[in-house]
Amino acid sequence: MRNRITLFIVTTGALFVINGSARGQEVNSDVNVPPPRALVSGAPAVNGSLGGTESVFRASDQVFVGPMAEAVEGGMEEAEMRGALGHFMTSLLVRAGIIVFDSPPAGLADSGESAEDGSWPAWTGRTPIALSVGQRARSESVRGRWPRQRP
Amino acid sequence: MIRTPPLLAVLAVAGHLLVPVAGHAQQVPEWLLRLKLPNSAAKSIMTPSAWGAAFGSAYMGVGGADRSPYLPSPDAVVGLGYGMGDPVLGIGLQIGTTISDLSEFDNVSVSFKLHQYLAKGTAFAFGGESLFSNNALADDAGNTFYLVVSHVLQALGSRRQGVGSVHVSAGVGTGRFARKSARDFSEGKGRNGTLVFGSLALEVIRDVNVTFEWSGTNLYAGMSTTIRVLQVPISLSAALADLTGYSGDGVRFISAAGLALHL
Repeated sequence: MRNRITLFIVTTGALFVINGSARGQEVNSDVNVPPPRALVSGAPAVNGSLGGTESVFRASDQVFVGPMAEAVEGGMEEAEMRGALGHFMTSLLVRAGIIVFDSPPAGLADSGESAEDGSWPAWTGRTPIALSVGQRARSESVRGRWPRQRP
Repeated sequence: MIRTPPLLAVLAVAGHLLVPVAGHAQQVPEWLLRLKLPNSAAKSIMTPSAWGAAFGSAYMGVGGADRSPYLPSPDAVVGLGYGMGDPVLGIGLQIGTTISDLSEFDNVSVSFKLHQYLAKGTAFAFGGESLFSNNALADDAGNTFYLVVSHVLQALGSRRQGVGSVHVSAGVGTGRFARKSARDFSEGKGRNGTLVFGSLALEVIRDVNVTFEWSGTNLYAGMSTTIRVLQVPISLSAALADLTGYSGDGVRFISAAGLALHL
């Protein structure tokens, strides 16, 4: 028993030391890998930490003072924003209606038809939302970018 | 004589100052500035949380224990999986597989977790684990399904903007949360667990969590953190398992490490 406690203290102490010199801000450790059948009542409790390194949240003070403000001002493309803020935070901004992207949703593409006649872009699939920051800018953008009349 | 040009100039300047310009920059809303999300370290040891993989990320990890319950031999496991979907705008889906017999490669099980972010640092998930295992002799409770809610306390731990310091999860489940092992039963420790499970993770140092957890059959306590090696984030955990006599035959030391890549 004493040996195990000593081992635990030494290990966790090493974690503190390592963590002082290197830190993954965007790492999230909630990708739980469930314990296997044979080890449920047995060995390793890997559930909370295995693979938990998904960059989901990327929430940090650096994000809030820098990229967040820029994103809200509408100064980023979607890919750039997802890279700077992380997917989770970017989706949170979209869900709150703070930002709207002017690119087609992932997985969609310009229709061949629109490319042929040179008219306004029509994404295949879901109706695209137009985009920029703010309702005023949004309506301006809709009128300016995607005229409703085909030639 | 009316000096028109200067007057027009004044009117133009005044108009510019008074009339809002379309597309003017928004401010980051107050609620978002106050929002606390999970930190980067693990928030549970043995039990699931409602946070999961998504957005096309793959992960893998390894874990080990100094011994199995009622056995002197050490044990290890490897897990890997993939996360897809968007838990904020829709639903996130995490699927994975666990290989628990590294020498024979004959005990593989599948897991999944559907998870969604609700609001204010709260998420909800439904999942299953130890599914489709081909080892009928495995000493466990078999297929397990669970519901879990996770929350980051918003009012506490405001040392960093956007990141909470107190993480809680609570859930209810079947299988390993509800039943003890056959050996536990034969040792007179009963057959049933509590069905409910929960964890409390406290960030004691930046991105270092101390976690206490009830697994449905026993108590765990551990620490976890995340480091970066060559820009690759690696999650590390160490814990003491089976702290009570409710199941098992004494305290064990367990540890795990994992990493993920965005595909």
